[in-house]
This record gives sequence, structure tokens and C-alpha cells, in this order.
Amino acid sequence: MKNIPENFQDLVKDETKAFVFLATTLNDGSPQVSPVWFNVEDEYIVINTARGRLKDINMSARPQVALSIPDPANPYRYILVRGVVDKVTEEGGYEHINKLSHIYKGEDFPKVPDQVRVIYKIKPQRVFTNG
Amino acid sequence: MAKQSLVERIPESHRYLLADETKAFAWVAAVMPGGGPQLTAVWFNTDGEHILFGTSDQAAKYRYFKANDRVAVSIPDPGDPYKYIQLRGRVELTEEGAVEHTHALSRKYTGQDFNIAPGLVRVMYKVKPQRITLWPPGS
Repeated sequence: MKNIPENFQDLVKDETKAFVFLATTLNDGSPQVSPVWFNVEDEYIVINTARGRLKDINMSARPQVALSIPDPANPYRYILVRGVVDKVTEEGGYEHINKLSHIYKGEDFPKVPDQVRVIYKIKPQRVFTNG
Repeated sequence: MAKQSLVERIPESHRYLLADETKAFAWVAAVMPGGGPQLTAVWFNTDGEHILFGTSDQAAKYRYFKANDRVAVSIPDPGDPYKYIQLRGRVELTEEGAVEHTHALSRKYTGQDFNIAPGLVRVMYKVKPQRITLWPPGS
């Protein structure tokens, strides 16, 4: 990703298996934060959740998000991103979570009946780093 | 029935995440005036009822929380990202005891007092959790 400084690029590589801590907002003006798997595609940070979850409801209605990517080996070293959900799609949703499952756990993601997986492509607007 | 404290609401399996020895970090989300979220990493501890952290009165968080007291916090195990406490609630700001608390937090994480810049007012944030979620759940 071009907008991540060179000395922090390792944190967005698949093999680092870093997590994203994703902050979204509810319709009552309160925030939510939770860790999620991610990967990088072109200039997007890409995450995946199930339709109907709080994150899904929040991001579908209010696309402004904040997220951090801490170094799994050093909590004082992290990337902070403010960005916007630019693309939301169900197309290839299961294939994408399955791909993430292979990156993080080396195994298939369980298929849950009636669960619809959704892909969110987050475009970074401001990037800060620490450490 | 007596209302349970924060620590009592967290089962044994996750309580160590709040203990000083774990030195876990908290990711804290505030909401900015424009409606977007802000996320920062903080040192924290607990008084048994609240998650406590601190900043100076110059921090952006201070302005955001003064305007909107809604907060979300995620506390991951430093050694196991699949284990965490997540909570949502409201935050109360106070200067009372904030300097002592700043030093206490610094000693927890670094073993030393904090170097407080002259002229800066310290603020303590007391997070009262309303909803608590654990991962893995039900453990």
C-alpha cells in the first residue's frame, strides 16, 4: 500500500498475521471497536463480517471508520488509519473470509447455514504511525 | 440482588486481562464532532468499577469525550489476539487524582513515575461499562 510508510509495510503483509482493531459508530452516536482479520488489496484495507452484525449495520449506514494495526510482537508499534468504506459487496464474500482463514489459521472457514458474508473495502484517508 | 462490579462481571477466564501484571493495552474509541470514530491506544488500569486511563487536557480525546461521553474499549491479550474483552459505555472526566493516577499507570507499564510536562493539566477518564463482550465467548 502506497500510503503506509515503508518501515511499517511489514504490518500489512499476510505473513505478519496482524489484526485490525476497527472502530465504527452506532446510530445513537456511540462507538464500537473490535478486532478483525484483514488483508490488503490494491490501496484498500479489506475486512469481512456477516450480514446483520453490528459492524455491518454501522458501516453500511455510516462509512467513516478508524482502525489500528498493532505489531503482534510490540504493542507500542502500530499504524492508525482514518478512512472510509468505499465498497461493500456480498459477491465473493465467503471466498474472501475463507482466504483470510487460510492466511491466519491455515484452514477452511466453516460454512454457517444462512450466513451471508460481506466484504468491506476501506480506503485510508489519513495514516499515522507510532513506534 | 446487589449490582455486580466490573470485575465481577468479567469471568475468571478473562479477568487477568485487567490485572497490572498483564500490562495489556486498551484500544479506546471516541466519536469526533463530525460523527466519525477516533481510535487510540492507552495504558489503563481498573478500580474494580471502571476502566481508568489518562491524558493531558490538550489531547484530542479530551475534547471529543467532553462533547460526547460514549466510549468503546477493546482489551486484547498481549500474547493472544484471539482473546479479548470488548466493552461499550460512558466515560466520566475528572482532574481529581489524575496526577497520582498518571504516575501509577506509568509505574505499572515502565516501573517509573511519569514525566508530566509543566503547565499541562492531567485528566483521568473513568469508563463505566454498559455492555461487555468476551472472546472467546462463554469461557
